[in-house]
Amino acid sequence: MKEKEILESLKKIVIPYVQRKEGLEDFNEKTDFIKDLEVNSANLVDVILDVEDEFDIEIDNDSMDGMLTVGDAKNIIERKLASA
Amino acid sequence: MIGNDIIDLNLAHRESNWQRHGFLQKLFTKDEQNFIVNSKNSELSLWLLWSMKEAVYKAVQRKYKLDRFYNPKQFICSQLKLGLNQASGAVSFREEVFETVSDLFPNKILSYTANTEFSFSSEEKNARFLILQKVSEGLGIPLISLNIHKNEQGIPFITYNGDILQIPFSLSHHGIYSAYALSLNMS
Repeated sequence: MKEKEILESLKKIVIPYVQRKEGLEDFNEKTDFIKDLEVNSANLVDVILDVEDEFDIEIDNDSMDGMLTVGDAKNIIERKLASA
Repeated sequence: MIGNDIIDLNLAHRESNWQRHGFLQKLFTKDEQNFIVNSKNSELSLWLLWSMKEAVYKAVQRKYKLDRFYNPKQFICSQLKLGLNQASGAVSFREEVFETVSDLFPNKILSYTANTEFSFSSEEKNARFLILQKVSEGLGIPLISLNIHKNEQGIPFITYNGDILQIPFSLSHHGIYSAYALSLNMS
């Protein structure tokens, strides 16, 4: 799957949990789920569960630990897809 | 170091479907999950444990100047004692145990580490101003010289005429509530 497609699906996944919609205007790898999009920390787990469903992968606790930005999520998805 | 966390229970109810598959398993240990599902009010118990974890996360992040991370299962709740309006408990992180206190209200839960001297929550988004007012009164310094900044790790600190004050505090916002925790008697 191409990088661009991963970013597009990530954006779709995260939209329902975004409290700061301006943060979506410049959605890129540096976008921080909590700082830029103001996703509630309890909703970050929903983003993770949605990513698992969408890409049919499992995100373990260690991977979850560093999933703070869109780029972090993209890297985890790519790594999991490659090892699947 | 201290940490706090406020939960707007109405908002939490709207925003989270805790019964969705995987939700509890990703955030809570087996023992915590058992406690939650066997509680009379599972949703309330869930947010109580969650706010304890979040409060201690903030305390350790500040204490050890850690970069932000997301690993709720590293924070393990235990020793929970439930009263009518208050709960106490402990949260361990790695080898360290932090005692916590939680104030239980009909529409909100406010948790803070037990070394907190002043804890406050309100329905207005003015915790930032109120904490500076408290510091100003407590230390006898003018309010106008005090400010709050954040470092690159997102950790807030209070400044006096631009100089950093070593005052342990924590701010939390959720839904219609804001809260602070503050200790003036610690160095």
